[in-house]
Amino acid sequence: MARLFNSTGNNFGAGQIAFKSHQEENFVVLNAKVSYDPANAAYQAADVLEIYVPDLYIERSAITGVILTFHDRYVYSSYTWNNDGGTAIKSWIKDKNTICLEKFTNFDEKGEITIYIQALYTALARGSNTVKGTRTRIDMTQETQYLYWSSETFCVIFEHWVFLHMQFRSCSYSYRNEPWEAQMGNFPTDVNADVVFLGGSNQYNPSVNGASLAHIENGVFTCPERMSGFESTGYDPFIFAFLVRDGVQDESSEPSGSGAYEGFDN
Amino acid sequence: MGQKVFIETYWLDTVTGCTGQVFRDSAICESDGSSGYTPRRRVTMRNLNPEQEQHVSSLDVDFSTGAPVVQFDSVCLGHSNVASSYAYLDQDLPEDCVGTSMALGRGMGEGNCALAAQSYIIWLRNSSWDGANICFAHRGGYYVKPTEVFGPGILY
Repeated sequence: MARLFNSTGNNFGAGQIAFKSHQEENFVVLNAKVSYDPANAAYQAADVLEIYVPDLYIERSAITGVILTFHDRYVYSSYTWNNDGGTAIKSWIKDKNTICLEKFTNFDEKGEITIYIQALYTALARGSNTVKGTRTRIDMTQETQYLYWSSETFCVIFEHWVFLHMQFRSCSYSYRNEPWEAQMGNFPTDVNADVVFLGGSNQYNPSVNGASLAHIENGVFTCPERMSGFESTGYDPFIFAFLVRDGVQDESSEPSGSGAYEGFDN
Repeated sequence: MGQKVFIETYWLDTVTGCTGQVFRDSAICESDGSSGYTPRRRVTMRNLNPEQEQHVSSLDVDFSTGAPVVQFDSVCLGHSNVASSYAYLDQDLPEDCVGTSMALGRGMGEGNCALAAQSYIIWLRNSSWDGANICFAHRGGYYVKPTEVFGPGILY
């Protein structure tokens, strides 16, 4: 069952962070959205960003990837040039009460930074080796088909979590600026998450891809808008996420001593 | 078999270099079956075939997670005009390590998209044609050389 908890603190001025998790002896899957202002003194003093949390099931982990995003928009009289961007940064569990994030300062001048933690943290040397899952192709359908996807649009489903990889191929011309919606056949309906499309040419931030926000809920994929270079050739937008399934909430999973869970919008 | 092995272990604080409590143990080697010991499966640069061209400058593929993921920490250099990198191994992968994985990458290059996030599909295979190999094939995001592929990758 999904285990929900709130952070107990952090060293970079981010405020309280709501986590959704699935935890086992050898690994944990964590989902959270973290925003901070790089101008704040706590952030500037930190070498590594640390989030303090109630006891995790594992005491340390190997490095995993999380997604750092920023907004960068230029408003003209008739349109907005969207140069939102992002990339992968490193994260790890230092001890059972501390999640670390790589301090990645390249986009601090953009203002608020948002990090999407949709990651699996695994321990190593566990005395047993990797267990194989089963790949499931996601059947993306629409009443009028205007979105087309790479064959690498798939998931690997487990009882309490799912790995998701989606890769955009093309969109019919007349729908390129419309809100997108599609049914995700074969994908669990108990996943509710904002997910980040990384990809698209980013003219004003050429060191990284563009970033566009999408949402998955009840087996429906939506993406209200994309950054301006989304469909550039060779910049294949993709989503990479380990997501916790909601399932049935276990009442005994509320953490103690960390304050009541106050909602989760990721 | 029949020999006594002594083991001494410490937790090492990576910041200070100080060690903590010492643990000592010993055991007499019996057969693999009765010991319950599972060898740690891990592929590193030491496992590369020196007689074949390699397309990685760093390689650490660790199967010891006890979870449905492989842990990657590798730097892919690319080759020719193909958006993939091969690591050719000096011996076959165990059958339970053969499969397909997918992991995140981030560019380490210069110029356009130097720091771009990417996704890589990773084939772990034993080939009768060119031997055991691990192929990192670019999929999502802008392709960059070199790229570090890191973190857990689902295995199927």
